[in-house]
Parts: sequence; structure tokens; C-alpha cells
Amino acid sequence: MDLQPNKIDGIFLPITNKRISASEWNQLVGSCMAFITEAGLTPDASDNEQFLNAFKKIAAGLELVGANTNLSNLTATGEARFTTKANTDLANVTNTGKSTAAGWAMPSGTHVNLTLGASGSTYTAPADGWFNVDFIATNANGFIALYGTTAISATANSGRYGLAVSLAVKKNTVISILYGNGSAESFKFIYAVGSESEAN
Amino acid sequence: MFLGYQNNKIVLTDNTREELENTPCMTFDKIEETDVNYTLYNGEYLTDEEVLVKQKEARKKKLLAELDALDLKCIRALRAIQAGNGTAEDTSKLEALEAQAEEIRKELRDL
Repeated sequence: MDLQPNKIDGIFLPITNKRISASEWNQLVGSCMAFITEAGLTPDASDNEQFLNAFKKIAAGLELVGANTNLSNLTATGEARFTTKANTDLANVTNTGKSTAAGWAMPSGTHVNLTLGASGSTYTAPADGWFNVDFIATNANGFIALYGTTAISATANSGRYGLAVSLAVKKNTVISILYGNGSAESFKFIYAVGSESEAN
Repeated sequence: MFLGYQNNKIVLTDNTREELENTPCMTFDKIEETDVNYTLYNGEYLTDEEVLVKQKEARKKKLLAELDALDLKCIRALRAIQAGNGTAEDTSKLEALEAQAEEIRKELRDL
């Protein structure tokens, strides 16, 4: 086999920025043997083509050696291995996986309290999450507006003086807040579940 | 007192430079110390004198609006008197409204 660092037959191996060590090589060979066995083939260490195909499957991380196009002939072990690996399009993510991913983008219970400065002040998001303001207008002309990648605003009227607004932001987004005729009862940044680890 | 600036505008104040520097999510172009007291008034930091001016302006605006409202209340009684149909009740109502207006005009003069 004509081996290049990190690359076999045009397929980049899932190991980057380093040469393959002897132990890693042995691990890859072991993985290939497992794939070949799962596919019901006879392992043959001298069969270069069989190994190259197995390497391609590993590098792509998508399918097992010997699987037909309907994937109907996967062994139980092979099916388990297949379904526990997301492909690059995330087309084979399970419902549980989808629910988990959706949950990462939701507000967590972790927040940092902030101070609302003068109208027009800017604030930088410390992580993915939400800037949230509970604003109390002093009269019917009260208003508050948050401008980031997107924007949101609220205005008071004779029957509504309490205004609550949230703006979703990605990490390092700079937002500005304009307001008048009122003050913030609370102002905080709420971390997304997937960004909770960035809270100090 | 320390003043935190963004775009040459005071956007936050605090007791120490360290407190301002450690304000979550906010960065400042410059931080200055001052002996002058600043207060957040309707979304902007103002000196005590500036707050007083703003408060007077707001009060003046409110009193002028009250005068306008009193004028509107006079219209029906005035129309009745002008048409020769005015009653004693119309006259006393106008007197009461005028007394209220005079109080407001006095406060406006004193501002």
C-alpha cells in the first residue's frame, strides 16, 4: 500500500495535523478488520483493495463494507455502529438527537445580571444566548428597542407600562439598546443551554 | 465617581474604575474620574443642574398641556353665555376654571 501522511488513495483519514503513529496504524487496521468481518467477508490482511475500501468507509464514516444500497443487509452490530454515527449532513440523526440539538439552542437557567447604561449604550454577548430586559415605562411614551443582528422593540401605552423584551444573539454580537421614559427593572444575559459552560 | 464613555458619551457611572472595567458585557472607549455628580435621567447621564433644567422643562410642558385642557373645558359655557343662554352655573364654572388656570400660570411664572 502506498501510504501518504493522513491520506490514502485520495481519501483523507479522520486524523489531522499529524502523521499516523504505529499504534494508530494498528488501530486503523483493527477497525478495518472489524468492518470487513461485519460485512461477512473473510479478513485478509494481504488484500490491499479490501483494506483501502474499509479505510474509505471509515474516513467517510457513513457506511459499512458490503452494505447494499438499501442497507438491508447490515448486521445488528453494523446497524448499531451505523446509527450511532451522524453523517456530515446530519440526515441520520435520531429523534432523540434532534431533540437534544434543539435543546442546546434554548434558554438555560444560567444568566448574568447586567446594568442598563444610558440609552444608546452597546453590549457584547459573552456567549450564544439572549439579552433580556424587563422595562418599566413611567408614562405612555415609554419605549425600549434592542438592535443586534435582528431587532425587537416595545412601546408603552395608557394601559401597558411594563415591557419585557428578549433578543437572541450569537457570541460576540454587539447590540445597542435605545430607551426612553422609563427604566430597567431587570437586565440580564441568559446563556443558551449549549453555551452554559461559558458562564463564569 | 468614575464615568464610562462610548462614542464620547457617558453611558455608565460607578464608584471605582475597577467596577467599571469589570462591568459584564460592556466595554468603554475611556474612563474618567470626576467630582461632579451624574444621575441617569430618562436614558442619559446628566449633572444635578442639568437634571433640574430637564425637570423644569418637563413640568412646564405638563402645565401648558393642563392650560390647554382647561381652555377646552371653558368652551361650552362660553358659547352658552355668548348666545345669551348662559346660566349662573356656567358663570361659576368659568370662574372655577379661571382660578385653576391662574394657579397654573403662577407656577409657570415661578419656574
